[in-house]
Amino acid sequence: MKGKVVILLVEDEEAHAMLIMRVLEDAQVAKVIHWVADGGEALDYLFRRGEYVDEGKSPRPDLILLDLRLPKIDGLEVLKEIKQSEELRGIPVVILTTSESETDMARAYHQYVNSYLVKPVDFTKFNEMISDLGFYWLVWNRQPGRMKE
Amino acid sequence: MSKEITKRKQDELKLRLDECNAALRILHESLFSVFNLWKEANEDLKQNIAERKHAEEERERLLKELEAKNEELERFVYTVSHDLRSPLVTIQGFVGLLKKDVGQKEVEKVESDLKQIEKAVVKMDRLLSDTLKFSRVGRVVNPPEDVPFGYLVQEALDQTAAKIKSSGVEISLAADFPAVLVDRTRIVEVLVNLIENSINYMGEQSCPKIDIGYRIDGDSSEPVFFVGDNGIGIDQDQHEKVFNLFYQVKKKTKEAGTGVGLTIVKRIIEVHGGSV
Repeated sequence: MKGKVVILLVEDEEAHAMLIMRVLEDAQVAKVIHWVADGGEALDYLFRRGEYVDEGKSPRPDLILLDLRLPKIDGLEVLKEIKQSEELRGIPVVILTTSESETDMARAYHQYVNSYLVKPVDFTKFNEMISDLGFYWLVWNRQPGRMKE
Repeated sequence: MSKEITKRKQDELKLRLDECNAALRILHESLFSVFNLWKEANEDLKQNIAERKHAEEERERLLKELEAKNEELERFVYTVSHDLRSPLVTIQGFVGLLKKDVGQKEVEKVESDLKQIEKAVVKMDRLLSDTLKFSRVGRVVNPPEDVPFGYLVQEALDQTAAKIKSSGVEISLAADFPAVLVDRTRIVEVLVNLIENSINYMGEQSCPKIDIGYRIDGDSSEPVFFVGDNGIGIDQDQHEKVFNLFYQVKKKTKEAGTGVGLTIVKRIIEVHGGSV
C-alpha cells in the first residue's frame, strides 16, 4: 500500500503546466506531480522505458491528466496505448485541453477516456475546475490498492 | 407467230428487270444514305458520351478538390481556435494568480506571474501574425517568372544574411542551377523559411553547415531542389507532421517560431503543383 498520491501531468505548454500544478498544490490534493511535456515522454514514463527505467523515477500515477495536442506522440495516441495496456488501463485518465471539438471528444470517449475537460479561459472557473477535479479523483473517488488518507 | 410472242415477252421481262434494277439502285442508295445518317448519329453519340464522361470526370475532380479544401479549412479553423485560446488561458490564469500573490505580498511570485503573462501576449501576437501570413499564401499569387534558380537562392541568402552571420553557419552552394518558371517572391519565401528552419534547429553543432543544391533522380527529368543541413534533423515518424500548422517537434526553451514556417513552405509548393 502506498501513501503518496501521484499525478502524471502531460502538458506541452509550460505556462499551463505551471498553472495546473499551482492550483493543485494550493488545493492540497496531490503530494507528487510529475510533469512531462510530450507524448513520447509520457509513454516512456508509464511503460518505464528510457530515462524512466528505474521504478523510483516513475511511480505509478493515481491519475493522469492528458493534453490532446502534444509534440511527438499525440494525446489520443497516448490514451490509446494506456487503455490497451492490461497493466495501465485501470488508471483514470482525464483529458484536459482547450479543444471543444466534438470529434476530439468522440475520439477520446471511443478510446475509453474517464473524463474530458475543456480548460476555461476564466481563471475563477479554471481554479474551480482543477481543484474539483483533484478532489473528485483523488479524495472522493476510491481505487483499489490505495488507502483512504 | 409464236416467235413474235416470245420476243414481246422477252422485251417485257427485260423492261421489268430494268425496273427492278432501278428500284434496287434506289433502294441501295437510300440504304446507303440511311447507313451514313446512322453512322453520323453514332459518331455524334460517341462524342457526346465522351464529352459527358469528361465533364463527369471534371466534376469528380472538382468535388474532390473542394472536399480537400474544406477539410483543410476545418483543420485550419480547429488549429487556430485551439492554439489561440491557449495563451488566453495562460494570461487569465496568471492574472488570477497575480491577484493572489499581490495580496500576499509575494514579490518573487508576482514577478514570475508577470513574466508569464508577457510571454503569452507575445506568443499570441506571433500566432496571429503567422496565421495572417499563412492565409495569404494561397490567395496572393504573382505571375510566374522564368528565372535561374541561383538568383532566388541569392535573394533568400540576402534576406537571411544577418541570421546566417550571427549563427556562424557555413553555406555551400551548387556550382550552377537550372532555370525555373515560378512565383519568384513565394519561392524565395520558401527558401528563407527552410534556411531559417535549418538555423533554428541546428542544435549543438560545432561546425554548422547548410547545403543548397539540386539533383536529378534516376529517370526523372525534373530536378529536385534541396536545402540540407547537419543539424538535429527530424525523426522519420515526424516527417509528415512537421508540415502541420503550428506543429513543433519539441518545445524549445529559447525563443523561436510558432511552427508556421514549414506549413507555409508546403502550401507554396503545393500551389506550384510540386511536392515536398
